[in-house]
Amino acid sequence: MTELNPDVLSAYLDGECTPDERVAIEARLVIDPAWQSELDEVRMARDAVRGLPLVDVPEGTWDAVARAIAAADASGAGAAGGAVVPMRSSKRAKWLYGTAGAAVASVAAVVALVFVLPAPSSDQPVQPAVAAFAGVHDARAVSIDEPLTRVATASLTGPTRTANGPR
Amino acid sequence: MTDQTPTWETIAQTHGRFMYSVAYRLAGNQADAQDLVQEALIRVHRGLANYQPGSLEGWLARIVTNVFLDETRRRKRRPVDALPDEPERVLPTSPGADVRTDGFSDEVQDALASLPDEFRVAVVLSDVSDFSYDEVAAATGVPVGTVRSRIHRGRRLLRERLTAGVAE
Repeated sequence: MTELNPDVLSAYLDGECTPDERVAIEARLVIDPAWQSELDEVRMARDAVRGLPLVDVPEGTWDAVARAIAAADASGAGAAGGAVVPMRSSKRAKWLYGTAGAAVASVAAVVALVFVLPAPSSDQPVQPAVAAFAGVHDARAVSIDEPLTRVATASLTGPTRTANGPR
Repeated sequence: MTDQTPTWETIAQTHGRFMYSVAYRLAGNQADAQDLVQEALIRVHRGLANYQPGSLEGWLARIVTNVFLDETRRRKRRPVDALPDEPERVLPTSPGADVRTDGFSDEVQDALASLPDEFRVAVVLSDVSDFSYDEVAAATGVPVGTVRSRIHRGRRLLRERLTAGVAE
């Protein structure tokens, strides 16, 4: 007879032993009441644990988890693919970059006009290029359809708002 | 992450009790079980992008177990924790005292919580998480023969303690 350790009885109960072990265990159970008794005992213990009910989750647990996950995301430790905390959308980021870019381009255009347009000679009557300045001043950022002055304002306040904005 | 990939919130809603139950059976008390579930769901959240559709409960149970084993190892490395600020956290937690279950379940939970860690983990993974012996071996990093022995000895000890509890 194969030498068996009683430890195999739980494996037998769980269908986790080999066919050879199964044959040997069943032969032993027939002739050895101690083995049968031990099998009954571990079966009872197994059934007791398997019969344990699911436990109710304490109130407030999920709120705490949500806060922990939000904190992990905010600190950069969270998952890239998560869907828990609304991150700044790429659309908004593009809008900010577009606005800043348009503002910079518009200001550069004004500066260029001021310094590049030919200055009137002293012996000629003053004829300021009013129309040209007005045209530049009315320049609109294509992306947001706002006048130049408002675009410039947005470019100045944008970074501050971004730094202090909610995360 | 695909459209079919659940969010952690969906998982908490549909499998939260299962995760908490595994955590509670492993840890033996409510406070530690809550901590385990929280850390497990953070890991779930991080791992969702790589989640392959399959046995979701098996995956979740493995994560809860890994968190528990990591925490157990951490505590063994640092056996004396600094005293926490809250006085109630200083007091030892009575296993099962903070969960309302009825009759025999309390006794079983107490007996389970009194088992040595390695026996309890093997028994819980097998009988609560429904892991195969191979899966228990993979989750705990020990040979299958050791898993067999731990499950059997854990059950025998559990039976002894339940019998002793009834006799008292």
